[in-house]
Formats: sequence, structure tokens, C-alpha cells
Amino acid sequence: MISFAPEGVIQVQLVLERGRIAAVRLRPRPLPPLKALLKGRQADQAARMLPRLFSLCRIAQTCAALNAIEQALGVAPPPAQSAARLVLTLAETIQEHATRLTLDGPLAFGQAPDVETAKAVRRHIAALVPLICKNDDWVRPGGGRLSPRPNDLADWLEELRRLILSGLMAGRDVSALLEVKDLRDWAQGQGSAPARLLQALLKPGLAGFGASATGLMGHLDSGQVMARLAASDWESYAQAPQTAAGLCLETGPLARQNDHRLIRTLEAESGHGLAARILARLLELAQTLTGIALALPLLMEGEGVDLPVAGGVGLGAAEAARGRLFHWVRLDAGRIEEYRLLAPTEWNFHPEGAFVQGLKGAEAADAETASALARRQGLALDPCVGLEIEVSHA
Amino acid sequence: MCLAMPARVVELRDDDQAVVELDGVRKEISLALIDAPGVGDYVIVHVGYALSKLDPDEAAKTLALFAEMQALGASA
Repeated sequence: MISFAPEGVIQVQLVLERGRIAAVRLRPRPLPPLKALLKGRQADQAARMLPRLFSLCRIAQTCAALNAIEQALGVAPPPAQSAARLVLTLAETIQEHATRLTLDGPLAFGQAPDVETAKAVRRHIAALVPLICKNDDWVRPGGGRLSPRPNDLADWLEELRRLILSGLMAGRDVSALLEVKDLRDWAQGQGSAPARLLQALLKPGLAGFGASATGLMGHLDSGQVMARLAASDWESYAQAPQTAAGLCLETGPLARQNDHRLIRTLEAESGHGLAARILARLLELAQTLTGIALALPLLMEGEGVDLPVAGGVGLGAAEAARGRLFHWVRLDAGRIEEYRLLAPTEWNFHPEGAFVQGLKGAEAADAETASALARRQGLALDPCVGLEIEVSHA
Repeated sequence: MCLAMPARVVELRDDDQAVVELDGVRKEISLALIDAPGVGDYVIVHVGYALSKLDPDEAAKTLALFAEMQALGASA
């Protein structure tokens, strides 16, 4: 008997009653047995192994692992190493958002995907690592050998900017728009897959679909996260995390872009629904480009720091495309003793979280409609795994 | 956790379509995002599209890791 499905799915049960989704039940995913897999391995070996399991957010996972191990060892990587990790993480966010906006989004709404743009952006992002170092050398606790090529990196960034502006934003920096009316005008031009998607979503009923009163993750007390992940009942926390006050939070692009004027105005109109969540990804493309531009000058040629053969406990965080990610590690004499992970999906797909709250009460005449709504809500909150949806009648 | 297992391309079809195999299950997907795909390549599949191609060495290491984790999960 296999008790752990490696690909992991989230099981969703919808209960229909009088034309509405009366109840939404989620079964948290089983946690992968990371401790068993990593125990006894050297910390640097573990940092290279782990990302193989997470191909959709490989960079963010690597960064969280490196941060956790460094904290446990009491070492700080040189600033250039942190800058390299930031640039790579931001680039991965662009890659993921671009894929959602050109493939998943259109497909979920019966529109044609823009395969060419998705391919161009993904290919361009894949070319980044060799401009910063050789052979993934950056993946080392304490930092690895960096050999950045400043001119090529500047050209790379300009080309990325061009790809986003032309392929996704139809020639207009959407993040510079001030009013929802301007956004509607831009979307009506239908000049790109995200424009067509938003045109479809910026309609009464659909724009606000999936909104709920779930709070957005801003500052999170890392001391509390550390304490909960260190506790003996850490698994129940990692499967269904809440704040110390017992609140569910939404993490991801909407939570990060919530201060943007367009998001605030959309929220006033229709809440934090489909339109706001998709728009947040588009806005984040522009903000992420700026982040990369600011971090690139900090990349310097150099090595990391030496690592002590030590023990200790560490918490590492990374802002993945899907939201905040934490790794927790306990090392003994430089080897993994315990390894724990808290993924963004568990916040958003908490049994009482944003996914569930936003679906509850939605009008759905039949099982097919209810499933389609759950899939749309899934797209908006972007789990890193598939949803297995089952509909029953009360 | 964004666990994604590599799937092996077993048949190329017209219009960038292909059949991949994962854990004994076959599925038709699109290879439109992949450069120069071939039978035997390992790819990461998402919403019916192969998103990326792994080099054979990396694919072998990744599959071994999943197999190890699956065995550990089963005995846990």
C-alpha cells in the first residue's frame, strides 16, 4: 500500500443544496517524508537534492533550504549571494506568472492559450543561471562561486522587459494605469492573452467570484512559525497553518500586490475575487522586473563563506510565485537530523481558508458547474498540485 | 509542495502532440513549449503541456529520488 502519492493532489468535496455550493470540504495533502529522505545527509547535499522534487518552484525551494541551513549553522552569506538568490527567485516568479497568464488562465476560460509567449518567456528565464554562475554553483549553503556577466545580464533584463511588455502587456505597462476604467480599456484592446483573460473576468459576477474575508498575508511572525514547525505536532500545523490568533491567511500575488491602486479600487468594486487575483500576477510582472533591476548591480564575482561543522536549528523563508514558503531544519554536526516544510498552498487551501470561503455559497445549478467553479477558484489561488473534485447533493 | 514527476515521451504525434508515460499511465499532451523533443525525453507536465525538458542524467536522479521517497512513504 502506498500511503503517499508523490505528485500529491488536494481532495475537494463540494456539497450542493438548492442551487448553491452549501459546503466545501478539503482534505489536506499528506506531507512528503522529507526527514526520512534527508536524515544523515550532509547539509549541502540536501540543498542540492531537495529542489529536484519541486520542479515548479525549484529556485524558491532552493533558497528556503539554503537560508534554513545557514541559520542553523550560524553563517551569513555575502551580499552578492543573497542578490543572486533574489534575482533567480524573482525570475522564477515571472516564469510562473507568465505561464499562468498565457496557458492555464486562457485554458480555464475557454480561450486560446498563447503558447509562443509562454515558450519565449520560459526559454529566456532558463538562460539566466549561466549568466550568473557555472553549473548551478550558486546552490551551496554559505554561497557558491559566482561569475556574473554584467553586460549580458543587462541585455538579458532588457529582453525580458521587452517580452513582458509586448507579449503579456500588449505594449502598455499595466502597472502604471491608475483607474479600473483604464484597465478595462486596455483589456478591451485584446492585445495579449492576459488582456483577453481580464476582459472576460472584468464582468459583474465574475470579477468578484471567489472573494472572501480571509486576511492577506503581510508580516508574519517568524518566531511563531519557527516555534510551530519545531513543535512535536508540527505536522498538523504544516498541513493546515493558521496564525497564533487562529486566523487563516491568503498568501501569494494578491497579498503582495494588495497596495497597488488598481487592486484597491477593484477590491472596492468587487472584492478580492478572480479579477483581482489574476490582475495581481500581471502587476507583479512589472514590480518583479524592477526588483531584478535593483538587485543586478549587487552581483559580484566571488565565493561563499566556509561552513562550520556545527549543529543547530534554522528557519528559511522564500517568496515563491505562489506565496511564502518556509523550510525548517535541525542539523547535527553538519548533517540533517530533521527537515520540515511549510508550503504556500497549505495556507490558501486550509480547510477554512481562502479557497473554501470564496467558494461557499456560490450559485451552481449542477455538479458540472460546481466543479468548474472550484477549478476557477483553484486557478486564482494556484495550488502547485491538481485538485480532485467530488460533488454530492445534500 | 510543487512536487512534479518527470514523464517520459513515448510517442510523437502531429501538431506538437505526444504521448507521455508516468508511472505506467499514458496521456496525450502538447510539446509546443519544448525545443526539439524526441521519444525517450523526460518532461515536466502541467495543464496538458510539457513545460520543460530534463537532461537524461537529471531525470534519472529525479526519478530515483521520487522512488526512494515513495518507498519511504509506504513504510512510514
